[in-house]
Amino acid sequence: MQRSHKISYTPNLRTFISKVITPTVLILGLIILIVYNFRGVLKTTQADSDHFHGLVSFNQGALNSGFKLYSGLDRPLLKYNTHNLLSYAQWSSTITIDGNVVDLWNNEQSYSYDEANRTVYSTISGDGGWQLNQVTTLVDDHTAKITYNFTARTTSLAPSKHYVIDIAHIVQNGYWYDPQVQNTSFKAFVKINDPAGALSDDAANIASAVGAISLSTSGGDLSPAQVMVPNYGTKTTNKGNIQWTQAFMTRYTFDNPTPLRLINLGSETITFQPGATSLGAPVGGPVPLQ
Amino acid sequence: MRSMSNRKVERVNSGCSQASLVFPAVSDPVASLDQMPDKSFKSFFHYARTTRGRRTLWMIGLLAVAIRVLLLPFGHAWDLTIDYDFFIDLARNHSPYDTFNYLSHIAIASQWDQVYEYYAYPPIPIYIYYPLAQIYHFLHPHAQYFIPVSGSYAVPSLKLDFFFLYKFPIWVADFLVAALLARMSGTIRGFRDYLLNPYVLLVSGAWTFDAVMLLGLVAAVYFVQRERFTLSGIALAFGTMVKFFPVIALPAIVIYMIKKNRPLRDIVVFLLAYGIACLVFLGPFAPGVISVVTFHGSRPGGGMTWQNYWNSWALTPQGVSQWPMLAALGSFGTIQLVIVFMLLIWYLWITDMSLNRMIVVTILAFFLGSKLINEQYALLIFPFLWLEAHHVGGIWRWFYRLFWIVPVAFTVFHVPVDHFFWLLYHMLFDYRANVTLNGTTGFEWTMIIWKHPVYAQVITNFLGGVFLLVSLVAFFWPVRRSNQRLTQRLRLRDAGTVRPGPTIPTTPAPVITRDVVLSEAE
Repeated sequence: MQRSHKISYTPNLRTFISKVITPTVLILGLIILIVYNFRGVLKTTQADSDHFHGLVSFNQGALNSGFKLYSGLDRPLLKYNTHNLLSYAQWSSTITIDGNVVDLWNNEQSYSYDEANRTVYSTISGDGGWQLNQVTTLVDDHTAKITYNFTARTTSLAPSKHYVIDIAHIVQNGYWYDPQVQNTSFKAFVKINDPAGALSDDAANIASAVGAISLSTSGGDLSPAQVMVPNYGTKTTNKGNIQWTQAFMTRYTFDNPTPLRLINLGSETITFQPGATSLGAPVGGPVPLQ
Repeated sequence: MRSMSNRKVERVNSGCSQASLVFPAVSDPVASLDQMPDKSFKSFFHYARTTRGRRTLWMIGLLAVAIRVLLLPFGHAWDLTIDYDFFIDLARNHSPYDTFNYLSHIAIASQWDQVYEYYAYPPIPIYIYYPLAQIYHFLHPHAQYFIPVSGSYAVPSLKLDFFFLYKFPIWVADFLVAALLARMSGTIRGFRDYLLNPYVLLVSGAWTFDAVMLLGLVAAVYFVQRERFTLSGIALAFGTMVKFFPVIALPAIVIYMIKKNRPLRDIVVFLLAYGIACLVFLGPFAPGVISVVTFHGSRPGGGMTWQNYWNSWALTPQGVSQWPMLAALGSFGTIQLVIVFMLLIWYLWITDMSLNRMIVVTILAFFLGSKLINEQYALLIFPFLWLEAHHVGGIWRWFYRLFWIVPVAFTVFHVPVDHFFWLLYHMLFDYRANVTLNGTTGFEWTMIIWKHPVYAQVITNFLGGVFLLVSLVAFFWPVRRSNQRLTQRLRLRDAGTVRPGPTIPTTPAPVITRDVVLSEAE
């Protein structure tokens, strides 16, 4: 008798498992392992390095927020790739209580971190029974938010107190070109290098800027902080005299805070638009890497 | 004038021995209700329909409301301040879980505490209070947060409308729990004893929304007794999603259903109803709830437990920090509770007891196993102990009394009680008076014992020890067989021996409790 054999054009299950599934699983597993493990190792290595340098940092795309624990500068420092955009200079910031000026850096500093929300909580505790709390959050790839809270820790029937807090903002290895300051906002182009090296062509200066930065203040329990620029430099261009600066202040003023109550002084929202050619242009889409 | 005609009734003493006693029949509706052979749900409604019944219910209800209205501006300063901020969160459509996370980091960074004790509950209070917070926002559009430093006495100046909006759902829950108690016991005493109890008034009138949680737990047990298992699962989920504690009743109810030979379908329906309702209630707040569960797991021990000793700074040598010991003990809290509950499940399985007793024993196991028992947690056991005292009597009357007297006494010394005045002072004086800045309450007198740190902490630890001891004794108190079971056993024995003997009644004999005697005395 002649036996008929059916010839299958599809591999049987055993063949399919041994020749298709097994290599696929192995290769996919290897790829996943490489990608995730590499990311994990990179993150750990970076975190170890940051810890060694006393730095807490987060990034969203090319925007980076670094917070130095043992320095009066860069608390925080906002960078776009390697370019410095704005630094909070605590040793140039002050608190004035009834006319007595104390710089913020020479006080007790303590911290907490929320990595999931890319937030650094830092508190400055002063001798006079006050605490200034700063909450730095990297919101997205073009926005950071700094919130200030204040607590008067006095427990006595203290006389009226008038508080003024000045927060200094600076830019290192660069300058802010064509700053536009209003009562509660600051906008400028971020340029690297020395302002003396600026071109005489206004459009060329803007085109060669890293991008446009803006800071706006909003009130919490108080009215919004005032923005002040202490010094301007001037550059003569084809458009006339254009100003530049490397520092500005935000000022929070309040009286008679309720003892032992956390008071929200307000927030500073910093927005960076890379490669912008005009101030205040809306931020579009994903931020391109440079 | 009460009619004094006598009638003969049988009394079953603690469900074991029978004795014939003569009690005079009375016209007191409460007492006569207790004497009714069938203390069913119908009897309560039958009574409530009478003119006198309606009048009594109205009187109890109005008195309960009046006392609660008087207690409106009183409250636990910290908890009500946090509840106010919770209102502001809801009014601004801001998640209280995010605020909890934010404030906890601020508390750590500012070295106030390891965590900020903010809203750390499941989401049902969010659903309940959201519309009320919107009403408050409409009335006070410029209301701001009031975040006090951890452990401080900073208190906001709140208005009566906030107190009313916050406490109103608690009052409603109180009345519903009282109504359920009345239905479960078949007597109006359940209604009265719950609504007018000093401990219930303290917790519900001046403290937290534990009554809302309790409503879920009591309703769950009530529906199990009525064999409405879907509703029972939903009610238990409701309680669990107000505060986590009612989840401890889940194994007790399942074991009860297994022992009662309920079909597997009923058990599955109950568990599915519970699980699905929990998921629905959790909704978008699941990540926030997980974060607060982590917080509860990491909390240090204290309250009415033995671990409270390490919170007693006045009893330890000056300069010696007890925090490391407390934190180390607290790290065993979860495993300690798990072990106790495994033993509990074994105990429930091997011991024959009523559902009410199973719930009582379960809550007692929680009291014994938990590292932290705050004063208001004892409200959990209140209705079930009342039912046990009402049905069984004897020692359970004393357990019932101790389980509300000890927490009240503990509150007096631990909070202490004069701090409940702070909110009133701030409402009256705002921030102008010395009393609002220095935390004084007008009770600063050395003769007041809770103002003396050493005495207050010694008494606090003693009361915590008493609570623990009573929990232990009540937990291991022998379970006696129910009358009906005993009767059935006797009948079987008699049937087997075919020996003439006394006729055993086929229906359970009426239980004449001490309430009857008391009402007679009245």
